[in-house]
Amino acid sequence: MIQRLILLVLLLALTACSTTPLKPWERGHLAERSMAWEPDPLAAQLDEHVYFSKEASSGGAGTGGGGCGCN
Amino acid sequence: MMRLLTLLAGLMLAGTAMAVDVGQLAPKLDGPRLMYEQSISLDELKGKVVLVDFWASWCGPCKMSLPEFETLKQELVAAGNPDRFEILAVNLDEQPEDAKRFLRRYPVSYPIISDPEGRLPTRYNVPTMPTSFLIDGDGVVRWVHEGFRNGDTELFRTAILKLLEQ
Repeated sequence: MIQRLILLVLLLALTACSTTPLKPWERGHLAERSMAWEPDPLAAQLDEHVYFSKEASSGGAGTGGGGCGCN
Repeated sequence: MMRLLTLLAGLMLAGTAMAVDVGQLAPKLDGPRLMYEQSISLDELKGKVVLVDFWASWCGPCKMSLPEFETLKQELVAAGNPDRFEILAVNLDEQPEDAKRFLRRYPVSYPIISDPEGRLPTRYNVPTMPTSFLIDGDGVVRWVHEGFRNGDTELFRTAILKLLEQ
């Protein structure tokens, strides 16, 4: 009975192997520039500058704190 | 019944194979060369200290390591070790053309195996990119280095020279 139970648990555990993580050498596509959160850092910085200037939230987007909005 | 349980437990552990470790015999390494219409294997370099380097053009630290390895090779050859040391690189770009473009910018003189299917890193169970294995004249792995950071060239030089002196 116990053995059958162990077998069942092991078999169930094996069903969880449906996804296998990428190997380190398979990350070529993930390393592409277009996959980055901010593909163009300069453009992102400009956008952020416009954002915190308009919103008067010096420190930029996503950061707590206020500001004079004078820049 | 117990056999079945052992088999299942073994199957569950199959995904956690360890990287090739120091003291182990280096697995077979062969394949077509990236820049030439010929093939090369690690066996051909038996008797030499060989630095096996797994890299790809999309890997950031590899942009730093390749020129450093080339300088190191030239330096060791100039120091009188042309027949005792070699670098054998394995390129893992899915598109070999990407690697060729990279090499036009950062040319190297050592042989490079092209392995777009990732057959060889599976054999060596490469833990990260880049990873280098220093192999002695008997084909035994003597040093493993993961990644590449500023100043690592010195570690490579020390390890290689130590092995050449033995």
